Amino acid sequence: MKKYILKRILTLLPTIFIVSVVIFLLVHLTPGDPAAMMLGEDATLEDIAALHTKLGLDDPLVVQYFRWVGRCLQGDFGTSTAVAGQKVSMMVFSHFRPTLSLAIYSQIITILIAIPTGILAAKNRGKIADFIASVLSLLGISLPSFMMGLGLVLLVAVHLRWLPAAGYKDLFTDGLGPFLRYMTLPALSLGFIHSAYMMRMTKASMLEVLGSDYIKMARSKGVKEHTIIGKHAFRNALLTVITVVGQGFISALAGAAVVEKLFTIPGIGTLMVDSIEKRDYQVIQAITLMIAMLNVVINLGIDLIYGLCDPRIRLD
Amino acid sequence: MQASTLNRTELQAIRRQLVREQRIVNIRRFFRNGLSVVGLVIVLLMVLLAIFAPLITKALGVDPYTSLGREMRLQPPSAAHPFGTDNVNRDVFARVLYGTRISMTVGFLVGLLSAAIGTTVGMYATINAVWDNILMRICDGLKAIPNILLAITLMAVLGANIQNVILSLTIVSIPGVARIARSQALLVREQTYIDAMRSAGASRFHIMWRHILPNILSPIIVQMTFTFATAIISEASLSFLGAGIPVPAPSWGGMLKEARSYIYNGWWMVVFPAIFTGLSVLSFNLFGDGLRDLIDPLSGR
Amino acid sequence: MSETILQVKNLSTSFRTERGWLKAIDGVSFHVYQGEILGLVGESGCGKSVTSQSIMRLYDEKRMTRYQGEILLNGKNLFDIPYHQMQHIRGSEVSMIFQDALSSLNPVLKISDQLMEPLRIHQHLKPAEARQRGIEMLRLVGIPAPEERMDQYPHELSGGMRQRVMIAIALACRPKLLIADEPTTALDVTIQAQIMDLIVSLNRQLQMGVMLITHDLAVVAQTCQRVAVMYLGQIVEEGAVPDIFDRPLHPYTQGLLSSIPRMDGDRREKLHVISGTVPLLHQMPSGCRFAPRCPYATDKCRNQMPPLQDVPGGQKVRCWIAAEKEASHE
Repeated sequence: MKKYILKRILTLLPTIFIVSVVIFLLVHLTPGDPAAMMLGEDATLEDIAALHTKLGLDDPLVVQYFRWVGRCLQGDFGTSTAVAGQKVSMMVFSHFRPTLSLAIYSQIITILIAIPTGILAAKNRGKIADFIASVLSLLGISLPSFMMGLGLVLLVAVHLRWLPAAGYKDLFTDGLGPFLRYMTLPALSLGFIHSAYMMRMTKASMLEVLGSDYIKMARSKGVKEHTIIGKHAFRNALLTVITVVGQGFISALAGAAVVEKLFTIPGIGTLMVDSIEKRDYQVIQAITLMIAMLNVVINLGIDLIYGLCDPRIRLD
Repeated sequence: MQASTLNRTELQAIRRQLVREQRIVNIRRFFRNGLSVVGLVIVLLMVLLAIFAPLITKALGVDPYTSLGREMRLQPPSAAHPFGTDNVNRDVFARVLYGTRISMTVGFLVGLLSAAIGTTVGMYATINAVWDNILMRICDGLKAIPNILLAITLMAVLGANIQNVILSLTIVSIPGVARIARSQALLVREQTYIDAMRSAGASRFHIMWRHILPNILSPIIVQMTFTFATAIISEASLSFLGAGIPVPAPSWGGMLKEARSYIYNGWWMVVFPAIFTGLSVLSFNLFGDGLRDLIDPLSGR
Repeated sequence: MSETILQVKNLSTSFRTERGWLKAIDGVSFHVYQGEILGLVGESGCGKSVTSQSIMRLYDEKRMTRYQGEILLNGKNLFDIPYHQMQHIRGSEVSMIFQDALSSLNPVLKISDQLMEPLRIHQHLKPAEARQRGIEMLRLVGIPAPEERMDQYPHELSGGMRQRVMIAIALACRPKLLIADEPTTALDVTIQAQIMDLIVSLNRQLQMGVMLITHDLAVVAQTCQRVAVMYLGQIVEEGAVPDIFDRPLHPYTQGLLSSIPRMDGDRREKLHVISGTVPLLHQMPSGCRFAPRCPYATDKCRNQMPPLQDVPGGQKVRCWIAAEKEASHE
């Protein structure tokens, strides 16, 4: 098991390296001088030059890269250029909870919608359930999350006045009731897009499994149809579905930017978008890096779960 | 009994016959799949709207940029202004129509550029293992950053304008195309006739562009229609966040950003750009689905 | 002769395709006696597997498949019972084993799970009893250390072992009929012989009927009492194994038999190949289906479909010329 994990981590190293280089270069090739920006418009050339040396901006790019990686590994993502003296890591950390709770809530909704409909569509191919699932999945793939969100706001909040149109309530400080009232629309608009994809994948992998020899064998043993779906088929299809759930979590984190902005939720998405206007590149860099790394880690986690679920994969 | 087999020309004739039959079945299948045809029709309609937007608006006497005067602020849809007017007294219909131009331009250029670059990268990756490894690791690295996030970061760094939107969305879309091109090119390269050509002394360039490219083109074209659709979504998302096409240009995403603040007293500002965005993305997806079923009937659905 | 377990009468199975309904088997009739092994032979694509899966009604009847004819199992027509009732018959009265044991066993379930399932469904055994019976079954099919095997996954067993497990699962409820669809094709030659020996000995021990589907005539010669030869969805010849191997009447059977390599034959003689290829199902000839490949075909053969008719001596053949010749011999 340990060996397996170690081997997987080793194969991830090149990806992690490339990701960090890309993100580093992105910000460092930015037009404009960060030192000049930090000091403001009335800084003298000498002040700027002094800050340059202090920040190590005159060193070769390679040196700067490794210095940056070293600091990132210690959890130091630099200081904000927009909010004086504010540590980037603190800013990101304080905005993380809304995003995480939203992402988890939206994933729960996604799974609850997608997996049953996917199975139903695979079981009753060509029937009404299948047709509805296809239409929903096409809509899900074609509607950007903010449009889904705007539609929901227009219908549920503006027209029916059932739920508030925007705002944030925290699960722990405000309680479950308010959290659900405020976060259901954002979670739905974030989850709907991915539930379309998850539904397609569930249906496709169920169809593949249902066409396999061991399902034929199970039928020829006289196993009931619903046992075939629940026991024989779904366990195998689950392997694909796990992967999709992991991807969904990441896309919920990444898509949060749009949905948080739409519902004015103070998460990292909002922080990122606000940082664009303030040209606070350190914050953008930190968030991008963090989500990319989270992506890599979640994929590793999926691989490990996969190994635990599928007896054919040897863990040693 | 006499031992014999069909001769070569007979076999070839049967094969040609089968290919021809398959092609007819394919085309019939595309057209029987009504949704793909609907998709194609809407796509064509959108393209026509984009091309003739200036003529249409001129004929109706409206303009996407000019204010119609203070008394025309936030007017609901009427005969003169079918989509209503916005918070700064402009005709929403004209703006939505001009928005078609922006979305189609972005979608088309991103689809085309990413297909061209991605195919080249993917094809050349198959030349040798070292190259392959390097290029594919870079693609993995880029894919590890979620698309929308990478696009936002790129836009933040590059600055908001339409060229940069096209540039960043192209960068974001390349790894996907490159992966497909690479795996397809590897399949083609394994076929014996490529070996035969190589041993006959054909140049790498010749093999690449004259023999491998035509064989991998169909999945690339399918991918292109999907890239087209995602590029429209991404551009709208970026503009909605204020990191895409800058105001006052009438992009659908930017219009929705404005509309967000008037959702309680100007539903038409939300609904019409949203319908156009959704419809165009949907139709590209439907069209792409139909195309994919043509080349690979077993995938999808 | 002993009791008839399975009687298939005029069975046709059609599938819906993009080119319309396609008849994969057309008017197949045969029967299996208790305690005998019937061989069903033919080239790949001739409808052997369709026949067997139609007997089990394994195809998707709601959308894709249409059956015609009768399948009498112990005198009861399986097409008369509602589809959902079939699950009580499958695995208890008829069982089936498939070609590839690796893909036919569920990769994520333990052997015990898969072996105990039919016992629990059909005989309502408690888990402990089912496990005990499962272990007995594994022992019966010659698996060493059956207690340990129960808790392993299919991929942990060898190919021969997997095939034995599949046979154990199929026979767990002592069905009266076993359908074996190319049970040895995916195995090594030595293992093939072991599995065939196992099937023959179980057939004697349990006194069940076996329908053995194969393309290997050597296997048929060694194991079966009777054989039916299929060509393009129809049975073209049927009879006792010694008769057919001695005196094949249908030109297709003759061709099949002469394509078996013989150890005692002339080594310089080329292996026999039946000329031409199997026509596609949607461009079926209107007369005898073998006519396009038959060296003796006449105009009558090309225009009129011959029936499967009894000829003196107990064989049945679907051929105008052979039937005529045999009749005139009398």
